[in-house]
Amino acid sequence: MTTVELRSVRKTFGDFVALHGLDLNMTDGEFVSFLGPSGCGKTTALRIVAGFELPDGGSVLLDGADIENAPPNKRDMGMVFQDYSLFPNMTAIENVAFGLRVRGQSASQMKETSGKMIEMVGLKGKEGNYPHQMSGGQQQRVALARALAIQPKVLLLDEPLSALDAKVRVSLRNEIRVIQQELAISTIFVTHDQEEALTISDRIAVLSQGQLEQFGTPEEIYRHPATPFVAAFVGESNIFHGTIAGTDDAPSVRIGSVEMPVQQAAGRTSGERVRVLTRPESTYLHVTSDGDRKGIPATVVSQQFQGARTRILTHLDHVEDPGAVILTDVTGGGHDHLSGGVQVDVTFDPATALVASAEELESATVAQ
Amino acid sequence: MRTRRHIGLGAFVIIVIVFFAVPLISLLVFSFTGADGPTLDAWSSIVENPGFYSALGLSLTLAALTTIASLILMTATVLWVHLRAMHLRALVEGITLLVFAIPAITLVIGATGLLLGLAPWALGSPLILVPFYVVLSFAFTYRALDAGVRAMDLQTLVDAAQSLGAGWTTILLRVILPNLRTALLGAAFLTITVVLGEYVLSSLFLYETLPVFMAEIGTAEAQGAAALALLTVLFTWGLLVLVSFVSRRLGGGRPQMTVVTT
Repeated sequence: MTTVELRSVRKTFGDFVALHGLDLNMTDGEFVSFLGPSGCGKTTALRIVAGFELPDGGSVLLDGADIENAPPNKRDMGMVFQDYSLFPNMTAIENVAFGLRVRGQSASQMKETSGKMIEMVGLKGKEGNYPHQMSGGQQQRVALARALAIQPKVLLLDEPLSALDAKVRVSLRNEIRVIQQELAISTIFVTHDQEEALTISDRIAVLSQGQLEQFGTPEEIYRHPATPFVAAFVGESNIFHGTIAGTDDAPSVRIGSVEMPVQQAAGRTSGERVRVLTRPESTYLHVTSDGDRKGIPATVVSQQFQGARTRILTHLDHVEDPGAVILTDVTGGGHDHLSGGVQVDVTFDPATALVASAEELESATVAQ
Repeated sequence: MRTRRHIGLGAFVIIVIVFFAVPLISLLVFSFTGADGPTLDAWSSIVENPGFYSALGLSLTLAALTTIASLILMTATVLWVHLRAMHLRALVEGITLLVFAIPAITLVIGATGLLLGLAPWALGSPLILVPFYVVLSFAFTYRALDAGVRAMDLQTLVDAAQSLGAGWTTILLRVILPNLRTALLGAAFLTITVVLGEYVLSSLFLYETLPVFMAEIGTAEAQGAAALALLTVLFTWGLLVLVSFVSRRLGGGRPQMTVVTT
């Protein structure tokens, strides 16, 4: 059983605060992604777990024990780096065997374990190749095999896919997930790619400016973003300008001339100017019929066929945010009637819509 | 268009060959020139001169010791700068160049004054030249090793090795030095050439190294000096070929980390 816990981990580089007291814990065999834009502190957090950086405050616990004083080579963690980091003077099999040799394994043990690892990452026959004789994807597979060969307690992946081309990236990330589940090894995966994080993680820690914005399952992160930053950074969001209306029992936001129910508006001051964020797939269009207003008036601008779904772009008609483009994703066929110029009403799911002040939203956008 | 480019390239190569070959051929011809026609006198006088062997032996000893000291010192320095003090890189580079701004006579007088007070016995041994040669070769060794380290992404390799459980000794012996082989050989080559060509310091300290011996011969026997100069050039070239050969053999067919030119 291997658990990792970060308690109030702080780190500064000169005047720059990389981490403002990060609290996070992961359970045995869990695949956790650190997701965020450049400079959010995700790699710093990973390097602190690995022991390459010392925190200015707080602690890192492995299986409940503080490992602050353990050097990187005593932490029993395998790490895969962004730029492969294979030893150029060693062949693939020698790279994989390196950690085993350091541990004093016999030649036969090393050969057996390295061979198994090479086979597991699908590189049988490439054992004798030097790094420069392999593609980026193959090198990263060797790096993964090398990290796993030592049977580490925790596997650390520092943007291991970002140097690879799109096709290899997708196939390797799936392989990483399969191997991780097979070995049931606790894994921390650093990425700035939300699709990667959403696809392979058990839980995602979204970081911004050194702070944890949200820590949850991919579905929670996507469907119920806890902060404007998460809503804006993960996936796409529509932004409606409005003012708080209704009551705490029946919270709503007035957008233009229409009052829309929004659960998250509860607790805010009536009349407060806010922004409402919604996902394109939780935003709906209704063709306007005389005297039967269902939502915020808008006009269809265009349709974009995107294979499994169709994206419809509309402009809101009300004056507060003229020109705002609202995205709506619809599946299946039969949307020809929603062509350019058609008058529609826009609604959204009141349960998943997020409410933020203009300042909150602005700081979230700046952080990206 | 391509033909014109080929002609231009050919002309350039010919000019370069002439530039290097003409002085060497002239030296060779001159070394065989005697009052009564071609002669081996200059070469035989060198070979028969016991001073040549002692000067050569001293220069080679100094070259070996300087190379060892220089490589140990500068490898440690370069690794320290790259791993722990990148912000000091420009400063260290500047320090390695300082020797070019200080005249040799100043260096010698200053050091002699210091040593007379602290360790006068040190002046009685030609080995006193070693630290000076190390300083003289700073700029060359530092740059050769720095280029090698920059080509290998040192920090990531060290991190990777540490994460696999390796300590510093293992990292140095199994990861860093094997990947710095070519840079180390290049730095060694540069250091040896600096020592074999250095005249001012050794003459000021009154030790007869190969360049000092060559200068002395030159005052009495110009052909002998020409023969010696040619020998030194051929030795240096031989060393360069050896460095290339060894680095290729050690490299196991993988790309070399750095190429050093003199």
